[in-house]
Amino acid sequence: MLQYIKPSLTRDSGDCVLRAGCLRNRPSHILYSMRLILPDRSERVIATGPVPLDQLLLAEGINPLGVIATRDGALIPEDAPVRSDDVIRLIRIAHGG
Amino acid sequence: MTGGTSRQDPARCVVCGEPAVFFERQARRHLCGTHLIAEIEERVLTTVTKRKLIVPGDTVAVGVSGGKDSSALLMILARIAPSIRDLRLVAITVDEGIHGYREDTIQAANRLVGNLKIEHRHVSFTDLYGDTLDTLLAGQESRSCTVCGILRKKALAGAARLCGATKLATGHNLDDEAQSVLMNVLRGDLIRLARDSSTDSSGRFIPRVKPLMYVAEKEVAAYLLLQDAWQDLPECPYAKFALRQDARTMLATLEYRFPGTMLRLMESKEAIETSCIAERTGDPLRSCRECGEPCSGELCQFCQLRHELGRSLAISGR
Repeated sequence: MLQYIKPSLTRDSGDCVLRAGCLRNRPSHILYSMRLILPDRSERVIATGPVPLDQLLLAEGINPLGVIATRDGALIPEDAPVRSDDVIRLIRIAHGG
Repeated sequence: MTGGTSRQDPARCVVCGEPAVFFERQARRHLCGTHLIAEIEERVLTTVTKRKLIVPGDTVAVGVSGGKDSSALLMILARIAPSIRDLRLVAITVDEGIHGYREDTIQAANRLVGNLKIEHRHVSFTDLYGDTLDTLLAGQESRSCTVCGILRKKALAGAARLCGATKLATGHNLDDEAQSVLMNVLRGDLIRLARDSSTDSSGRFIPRVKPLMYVAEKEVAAYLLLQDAWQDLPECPYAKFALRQDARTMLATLEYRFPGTMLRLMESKEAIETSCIAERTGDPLRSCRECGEPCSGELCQFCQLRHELGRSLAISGR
């Protein structure tokens, strides 16, 4: 039986906050589904299997070198695996020093 | 090289085995917060000492805008200062008068410099040139970075001279430097490509040094975040007009696909500088015929700009 757990999201100071939801198809197979809010306030729904964060960002047209990711307030590497209960915040690295 | 034992395990620091917070793509290694901070500070110290960018007894004027790069620069220099005998740091903040942008960054600069208890000097375009950048640029926004760059450079140099600085440090990082190399190639400006502003054998201008030149922009951001020093500040509203934005996007794509691209661009520039030194024999530094400042042509960039803008651009506090 297909059980859909809705993803949820928040937007904080113009940054993107990903809260991964999941589609549970069989106990041994989990798909991740998340909604992404970009700094321009547009939204995307992403359905994907478990992937490293950088691959997910690339698929959404975001260069991982242009953002910093945090999970539960802590910095995570750009190749960190995304978990189903994650809340991932993307901070855009603006040019200018 | 480290990583988790599977795609789902968190990666571990190559040094201590703690959970990693950063992935160095070119070296293909993970670092924890503590060792990333240590690595960056060590890299800057090595850069300034091996290349003699900063030597014992130097008074270093540090351009501090309040943005991420200059903030990280000042923090790192303050940390490594005990390793350089008799080093004096002076922070200089230039207010161009960019409405809706500069006010926030100057506040950030004031907080940081105050916390570090470093001497702080402020200069403004209005005081120096009689107007804000917004007013000077009206109708010429496409030239914003060029105009701002020339006026900021003059403002910084003047302030550095007034506080007795022997070096002027700016927060240009690896991404900035690699973008500049690419832009100079795209413009066909080999003279600028081969120029090294960190030395001056004539003694007529204060050498400009870039201690963060081998620190990537993302590393700078991570350095600040890890120490709760990250400020979510806006980007300069004039940035969109510049060729640099295109160069930035291009290089970021290449760097992700081919890690080390930016570093190799920097190494190419240094090779060109070295090979051009022998050719640079009959090119003495001149004096601007209008203001007397050192320059390579008859007029310095500032005086050329004054003519182009058709304004007096009063020079005060020179």
